[in-house]
Parts: sequence; C-alpha cells; structure tokens
Amino acid sequence: MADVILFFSSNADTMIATKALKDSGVTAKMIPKPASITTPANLALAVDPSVEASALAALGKANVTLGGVVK
Amino acid sequence: MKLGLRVQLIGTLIGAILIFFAISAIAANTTMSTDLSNLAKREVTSGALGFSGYWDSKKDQVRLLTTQIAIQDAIRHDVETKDSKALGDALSNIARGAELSFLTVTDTAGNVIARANGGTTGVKTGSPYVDRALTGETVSTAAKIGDAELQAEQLAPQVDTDVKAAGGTTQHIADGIAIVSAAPISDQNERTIGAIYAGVVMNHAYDVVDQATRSLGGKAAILLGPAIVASSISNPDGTRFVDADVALDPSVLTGPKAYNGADTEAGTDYLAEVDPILDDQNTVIGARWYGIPLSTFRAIQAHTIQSILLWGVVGLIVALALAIPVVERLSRLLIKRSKQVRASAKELSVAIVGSEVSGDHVAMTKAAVEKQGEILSAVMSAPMNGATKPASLNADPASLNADPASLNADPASLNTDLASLNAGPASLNTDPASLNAGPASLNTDPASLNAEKIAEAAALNAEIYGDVIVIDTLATEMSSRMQQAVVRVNELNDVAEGLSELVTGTKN
Repeated sequence: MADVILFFSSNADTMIATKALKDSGVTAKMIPKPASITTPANLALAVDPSVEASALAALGKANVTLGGVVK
Repeated sequence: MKLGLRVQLIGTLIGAILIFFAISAIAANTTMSTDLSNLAKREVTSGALGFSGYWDSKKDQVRLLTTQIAIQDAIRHDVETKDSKALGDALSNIARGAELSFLTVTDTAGNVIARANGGTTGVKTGSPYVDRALTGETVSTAAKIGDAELQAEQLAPQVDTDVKAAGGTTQHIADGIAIVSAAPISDQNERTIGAIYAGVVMNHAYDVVDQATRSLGGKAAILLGPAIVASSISNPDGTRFVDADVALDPSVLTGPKAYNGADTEAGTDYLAEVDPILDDQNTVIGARWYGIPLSTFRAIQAHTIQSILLWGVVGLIVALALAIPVVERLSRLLIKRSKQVRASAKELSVAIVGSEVSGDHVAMTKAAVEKQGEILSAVMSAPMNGATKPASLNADPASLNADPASLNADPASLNTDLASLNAGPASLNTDPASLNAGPASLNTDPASLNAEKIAEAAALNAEIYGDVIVIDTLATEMSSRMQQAVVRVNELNDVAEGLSELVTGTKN
C-alpha cells in the first residue's frame, strides 16, 4: 500500500512535524513535495498508512498545523 | 489566582498610598488629639483666669462704690441727722445706677438707718462685715448671705429656688452668694458715725457670666455648693441652664484647689475648670465654673482628619493618573520584549530541530546508499561466481568498467562519496537505463545477472535521489535558518540590554 503523504505550510513546520513524530515514536520519512500538492513548503512527510492515526494525533498533541493529507 | 504585572504594580501603588494616608491620618489624629487637648487645657485655664478677672473687677467695683458713697457729704449728713427717708431715697438711686443688689447704712451701733430696697430699719443687719466696718476697716469680699439677711434686704425672691439634684431629688436654695463691701462713714473729724454695706447677689444675676462668655468665648457659671445659681450655659432648647446641680464630684467643689477636667452639663461635653470662691477668711463659699465645649476641638480634629482623607483620595487619583501611563508603557515594553524573545526562541528551536532532522535524514540517506552499494556489489559478483560465465562479459570487461562501470567496478566510491551523489544525481538517474540497457550482455543472461536486484537498486536509487533533494532543501533551509538565528541571537542580546536598562536605568 502506498504511503500517506502529510504536508505543511512551510519547511520549518515540516521539520518540526518530523521531530514531533520522531519523539512520539512514529516513523516518518521526509520526502520532496509531490508535484500534485500545492503548498509553499518544498518538503513533505511520508508515513505508513497503518500509523496515520497515531501520526495525526502526535501532530495535534505537538500543536503542529497540518496543511493536508494525501493518501 | 495569578495577577498580571500591570495589576500588581498598580495594586502595590494603591496599597502604598492607602497605607501612607491611613498612617498619616492615625498619626495626625493622635498628634492632634494630644495637641488639641493641651490647647484646650490652656484655653480653659486662660478663660478661667479671665472669668476670675471679671469677678475681681466686680468686687473692686463694689468696693470702690462703697468707699465713694461713704465719703459723700449728703450721705454723711443724712447719717448724722439719721434722716432715714432722705437717706433711703439717695441709696435707692445710687443702688439702681450702680447695679447693686443692696445698699444699707447703719449707725455706730450697727442698726439700720436706711436701705436702698426699703425694708426694716432700726434693727441689726446681722452682717459681720458691718461690725468690722464700724471698727474702721473697709471690707471687700465674696460672701455667703443667709436667708434672714436676704429677707431683710428684700432679696429672698431673687435667691429662693428649687435645685434639681443629680439623683432626681430637689433641694431648696435659700442662701445667696454675693460680692459685698462694707466701709465706715466718718464725719468731718474722721470719727465713725456709721457704716455702709453694699453688695451684688450673684444668684440669678447673669452680668458677670454673660460678660465672661462674650469676652472669653466659653461658658461660665457660679456655683453655690453643687448648685449652679447663675450660668451662661445653654440647655439644648436654648434656655439658660441654671438651678441644677453640677455633674462634678462634690469633692472637687469644696477643695481649695482648682479642678481641671472633663464635665458634662446640659448634655454637652466640656473641658472645664472649677476655681473655688473664697471669702476674706479663705473659706470656700462657692466656685466659679468655666468650660469650653469639647465639640469645638473635636470638630477641628474631625475636620482635619476628613481633610487628610479627602486630600488622600485626591492624591490617590493624581498618583494613579501619573502612574497608570507609566505602568502601561512598562507593560507594553515588556510584552513587546516577551514577543521578541518568544519569536527568537521559536526561530532558534526550528534551527535546532532542523539540525537534528537533517542529521537523521543524512544518516538515513547514508544507509540507503550503503544498501544500494551492497546490491550493486551483489550484482557484480553474481556472474563472476557463476558456473557458466557469459563470454560477452569476459570478452569485454573493460567496456563495463569504462562506462557504468565506475559504479560497478568501484561501488565503494558510492558508499564513501556521498558528495558525488549529491553533485551529480543525474548521472545516477540516467545511468540505471544504461545499466539496464547498455550492458546488453547483462540482460542477455537474466539468470546470472539477477534482474530483481537491478530493479531493487533502481528503486533504491530513486529513493536516494529523493533523499538528496530533501538534503539539498534542508541544507538551503538550514542555511537560511542559521542566518536568521544569528539575527535572533543579536535580537535577544538587544532584549537583554533593553530589560537591563529598564531595571537599572543605565545602558550596560
């Protein structure tokens, strides 16, 4: 199954999100932003679909604003 | 509940001002209470002295009148001729004009020749002062006059009264307290031919007490024993407070020393002085009471405290009007500095997080590159170890080494030189095709070359390509962040200097 793409409004938010997910024990991989996503950030995060819920919860807990999710 | 700095500063200011004025009011109240008490005592002492002066003046006036009358030729003549009628008329006129209560002339035996008020003649006056005057002495004193003598002088109605005592009982007063004077009347040869006896009865006579009140400002009274027989004290309804017992302990009224202290008469609190009235034998026969209403001083005290509190409120308002803008300015400054610190901290935290994330990503990329190196190494070694080695591979191994070869021949260079991957990922992207398409000899023998490994390497290469792009982006981002971090650090330094200046008032 393809990874779930999480994107944010800036590269800084993407980095903070990466750190937040790492601290929460959720594995995420930073990838170049897919061309289909429109956002000022150049980076996005790819997570396994099985950990999507935990990833969103961890981001909410860390108060990181999510730009969107692409499945 | 946590209070903000603004509330705390203004609250502290208000508290300090309120405490200041409360302590000021208490101090002023205490000081004024003491000072006004001393002032009141001085005022009362001074007033009592003035009242005493009016009393003595009245005594001197009676004495002077008596001695002047005694040397009038017409009086001498009438005494010598014992012309009672002429003498009576003359005495009546003089007494009326001089405001004397009584004026009596006796012969050398002490028998009354004539009285200003009419009354019985030819009888003894019963006054010891007349006897003394007949011996040639001029007497001037305060005296207690008995009922019989007052009856003879037609003065009993002026004196007779019922006094309401403190216990609710009623006591009848028939004696009078008077200023009297007696002097001998002499003929041309200075032989005593009679005596003149004059006096002013003070019971219900208000000249002296009213004069003292007008001149001295307080209230005055004359006491006979505990009874007030004349006074300028007013009842609450405005009538004169008289014919009542004074509220003081009787012991202070009979002693030879003055009493100074609080007293309540007719419902009004006074600071009063009571001076004994002595006769010429130094016997206490009555007392002079002089008092100042304590409300006079209490009103001054209350007014002063009210003024202090009123001005305190004005001061509080002015202080707040001055302080609130300052506190507001300080608060705004601190809020601004706080925002600067928060923004700087956020920027710096992003830089720190970015650094950590970049490091992690580089490590992941390195692992991917190493993995790819292992795959390629496996691909390289597979045909070499095979039983049937394709001739084409053996025929021209140099061609493999010459082109994509650098990848196959030296996979270590991929693993050890990440920079070369970052610098020329295109060659990697274009290369898989050449790997797949170029060495046709590899494809020609899929069994030995392991196509799956090649596909895996291609996928991994794509991932590495993405990782390199991410690293490049992160490197750019971090470069920008580090520059911002330098700016933010400088800004934090400015904030620290600004806060230090705010607290100390000087620049470091």
